[in-house]
Amino acid sequence: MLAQDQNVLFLFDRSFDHFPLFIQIAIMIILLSVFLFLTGISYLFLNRTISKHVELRLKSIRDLVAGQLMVDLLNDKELSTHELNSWASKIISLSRKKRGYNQILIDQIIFYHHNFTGHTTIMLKSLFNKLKLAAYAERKLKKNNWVLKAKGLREIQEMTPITKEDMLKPLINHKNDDLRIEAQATYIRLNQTNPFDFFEHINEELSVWHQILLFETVTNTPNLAIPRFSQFLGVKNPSLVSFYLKLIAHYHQLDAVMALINLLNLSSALRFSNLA
Amino acid sequence: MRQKILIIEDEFLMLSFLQQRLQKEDLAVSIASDGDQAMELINTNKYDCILVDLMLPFISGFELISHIRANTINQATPIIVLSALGNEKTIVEAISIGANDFLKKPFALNVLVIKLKLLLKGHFISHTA
Repeated sequence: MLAQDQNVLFLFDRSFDHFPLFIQIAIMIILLSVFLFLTGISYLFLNRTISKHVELRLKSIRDLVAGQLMVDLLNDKELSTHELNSWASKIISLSRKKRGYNQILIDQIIFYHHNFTGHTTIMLKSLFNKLKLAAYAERKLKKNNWVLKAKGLREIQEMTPITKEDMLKPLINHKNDDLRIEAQATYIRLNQTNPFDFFEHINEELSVWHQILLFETVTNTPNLAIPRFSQFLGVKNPSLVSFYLKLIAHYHQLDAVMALINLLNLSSALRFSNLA
Repeated sequence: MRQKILIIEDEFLMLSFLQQRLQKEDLAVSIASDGDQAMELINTNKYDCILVDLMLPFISGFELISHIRANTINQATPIIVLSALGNEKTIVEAISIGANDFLKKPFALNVLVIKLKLLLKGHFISHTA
């Protein structure tokens, strides 16, 4: 009897078994709802506390990185190799101790790189290489999350002059639209001698938005080897032909006139879109 | 006495970076990170030069320039615009409402410093003439 009394379920049965069934069900639902509500509230509270803690930790690292970068970049004179090396080794030792340090460093270097030119840019690129941050960015390309992959691609195309084609090529036909565009833009920016060779392997249609982004990349990348686009007009992908036509018009490639006349004989919707 | 500069910029990193860089030029640098803050400082303090971004929270850079030129103690203070909006229309508009110079982001720090020094020496076209 004592053993039965100590059983919680038994007590529960004894307390409610004289109620009608629907009341018992209602009580169960109420108890379950209260339990779920309290669990939800605890989860939110815990999540907020953790996020606040992480944000505080990241803020202190952000300030630390900003301070160090400023001290370095504020130097009017160019840093000697010895100075740069000692600065870099100090940063590397810190990045081993603090999680998130490398990412914040990359974010801030890219921020300054967007806002300044001249001596500051040279210094930033040099720091990026010394700190081996390209390898850190490249590691993101191996992650499963496409957002991280796209972030890695953006960091690489912003800060490094070259990248490994074998890492980039599989992403050029990735099923995720955003990642695919980012990969193609990166390829164009970094492969300056033959930036359009990947188009042969493109299977997907280029949406208008996709074409605009690639067009911006091509026209805004300095020192890009611009080919005669008329040679590519024979491809079977109509969206690609449409894209090439926009570039032909932009670069005033008058030698493409004959190829354009041939396109007029096409009886597909492509002709109308191209003429438009 | 050190010359007084006001930097109005909403990007914290950019703001503190420019502040430290210009302090190295022996300038007294004040900062504002939005239009409201800037308006308060402009109305109460006299500056020797104002650096202003165009895209600001609450009050835009254009409005600030117009306000400065309209009727404040900084009416004759030279203004340099620092902005990523560097198309012809924006530059013309900024200069026509009272900016003395325009630097499109990204810009070279040394260029900013030399332009600032020239403006502080009085090498600019006065908008109040």
